[in-house]
Amino acid sequence: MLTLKGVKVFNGEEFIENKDFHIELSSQEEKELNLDGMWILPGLIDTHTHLRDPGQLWREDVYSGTKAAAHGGITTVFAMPNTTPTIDTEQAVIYLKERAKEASADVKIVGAITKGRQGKELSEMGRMARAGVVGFSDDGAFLNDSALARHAMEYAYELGLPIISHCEEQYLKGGHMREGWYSTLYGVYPTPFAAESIAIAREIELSYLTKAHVHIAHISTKRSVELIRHAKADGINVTCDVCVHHLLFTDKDIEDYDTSKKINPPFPTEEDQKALYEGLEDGTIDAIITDHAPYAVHEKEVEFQAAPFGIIGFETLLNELFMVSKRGIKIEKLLSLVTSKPAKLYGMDGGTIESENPADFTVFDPNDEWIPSPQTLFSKSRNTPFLNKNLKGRVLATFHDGKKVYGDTKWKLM
Amino acid sequence: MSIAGKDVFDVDVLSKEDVLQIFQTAKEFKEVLQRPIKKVPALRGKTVCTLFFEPSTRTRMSFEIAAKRLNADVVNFSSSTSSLKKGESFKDTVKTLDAMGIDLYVIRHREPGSPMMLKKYTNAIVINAGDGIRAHPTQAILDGYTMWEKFGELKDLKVVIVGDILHSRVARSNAKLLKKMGADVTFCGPKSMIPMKAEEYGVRISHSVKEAIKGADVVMGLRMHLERQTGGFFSSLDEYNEFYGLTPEVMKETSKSSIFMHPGPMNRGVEVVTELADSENSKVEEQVTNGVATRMALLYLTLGGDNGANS
Repeated sequence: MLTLKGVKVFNGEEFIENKDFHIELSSQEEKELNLDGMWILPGLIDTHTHLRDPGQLWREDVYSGTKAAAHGGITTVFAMPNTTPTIDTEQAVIYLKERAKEASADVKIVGAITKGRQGKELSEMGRMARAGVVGFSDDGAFLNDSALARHAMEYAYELGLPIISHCEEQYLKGGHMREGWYSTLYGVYPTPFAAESIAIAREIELSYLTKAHVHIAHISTKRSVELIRHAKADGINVTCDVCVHHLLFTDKDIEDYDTSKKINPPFPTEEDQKALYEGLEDGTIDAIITDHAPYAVHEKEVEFQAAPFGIIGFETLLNELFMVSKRGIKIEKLLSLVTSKPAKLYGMDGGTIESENPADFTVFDPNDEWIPSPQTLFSKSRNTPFLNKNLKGRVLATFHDGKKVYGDTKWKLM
Repeated sequence: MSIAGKDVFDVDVLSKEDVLQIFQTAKEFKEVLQRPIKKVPALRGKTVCTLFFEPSTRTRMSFEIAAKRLNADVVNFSSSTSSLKKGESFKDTVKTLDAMGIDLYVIRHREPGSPMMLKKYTNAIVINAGDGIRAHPTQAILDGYTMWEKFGELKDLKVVIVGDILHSRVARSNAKLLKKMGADVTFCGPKSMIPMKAEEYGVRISHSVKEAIKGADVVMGLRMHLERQTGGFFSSLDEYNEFYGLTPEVMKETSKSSIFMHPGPMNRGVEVVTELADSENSKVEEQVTNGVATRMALLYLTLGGDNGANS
């Protein structure tokens, strides 16, 4: 038995102060660790990630990706299907599940809505559901064909699974940052906010038509928040999440053309970001994601407009939530959006600590610091704007399925 | 000399005093250009590399002539394809050239921010000769100089820039430089070709040439950047010409001493008719001459040469 003394335990909604927290150990020894003021969190849940496995292993794989997740305190990840080949068959789902057995986190699989994410033919959604997918998404692409999107929702409804929608209207998209004063100033070809909100409006209407649960991924504009808030008030089964980076950066930050700040959807304008904070406060936004999207150094070391979209996020998630809390949202609320809220949203276990000795939890020191660098990151990639920046807060150890999946030197004894 | 060692990514790195110093220096160099032997040894032993990733003849030649008039050695690198397509990365291209000992780069690239990217891989001075639709500081300097030469100062000068502002780095850099110098600037064009929130430059926005042009001292036409457009920005060149084309007739509404300017190349019959382009009011060729003089001034001042035009 290991006793962690003096910790604050977050149960998924609030902190319980000064608790002694007991963990069963495989050995019979009795140990005590004095962890005054440190946090015990449920293993975090990240419902939108790219593990690049199979087929893009120079960027990440299921093992490096989940080690990075564990380093960030995350014990459940949703793997998006935009891999090579696409996860669009039952066999592909089974293959990835098999690979993920030895991973450092629970890898939940999202199957593609259409074959090859091409938007032409439905993939075998029923068979993928049988193999255990948690939802369907053509993430990275919007399903332009509204008739096909309708049928996909009809199947999803029957299967009791959500459609996770990447909303981007096909003709308005194509820019490299959000349209506004800064895109004009920086001379970067922009995408207007309406590219996102038009697509969201369609998804809301189709959800109303089919009754399917449509989850809008990574919303980034004021109009998106307003449309979803309105739809929810109308009782339509629409939910959404926001990417943590979008709460910290705005279009202005593209100033240095740093390709590690290039992401899709692009960083919001200040006005749009303000609306995202309001959406978090009033519950319009149901979860926070990292959209962990690794790219190799050479892929990002190009001109801004030539660079691929994506930022890694696993290992800095808690640091970023910490920064967001400094801007006026309670840390408890933010933590619930990466624990109990997404668990409830997708009908999963976890995301809470109800009793001692939970299977998944993480120990976090809010007062320590660390610096993401090629030496400290577990991800194969480094495309983060926080590279070489000093960050407040540090994960000390992460447990998944009762086993330690990450622990710094102090935890060697275990 | 505060300009020495500066990287000219855009005009905002220059103070008002810097701009006036460039104008004064350019004036001296312009006199050199009238001499039978148009050369001074101000930059002897310096190596200037023009790095052109986008097709350009006039800007590249203008820089090359400017550098040669100052006795610098000039090497030219040009690649019409983007670095990615070519296979060699931008970074590797620059590192290769840099290993040969370059003092100053002049870069033209279709990607915004590329001069700053270049700076990451070199200690040499970087001058932006146009990066995508973002900036073209030396064009703005030569345009400002042309106005300064004609009117004596830029303060309260009424300048109207007409055309495809959205795809124009010339308009963007001009707006910044002219506002810095106190001019009154209007962007005029169809709404589809005015960039979002352009009024934040401190310029007026107009969709009517007739209204915008009233009392203008300078009317600057811009080329329709067909190669940068993705379609749907205008219905026909003919309709565009009817509403936004610049003619001697339209110019009647301007101030008495007004001039017509254009960064070139001109599409005669689209944004401007021949009668105006070749008129006495037209400063188009003067702009080209001033381009060499102002670029000499900028090369000289950034490289910190100590032998001026009179040496």
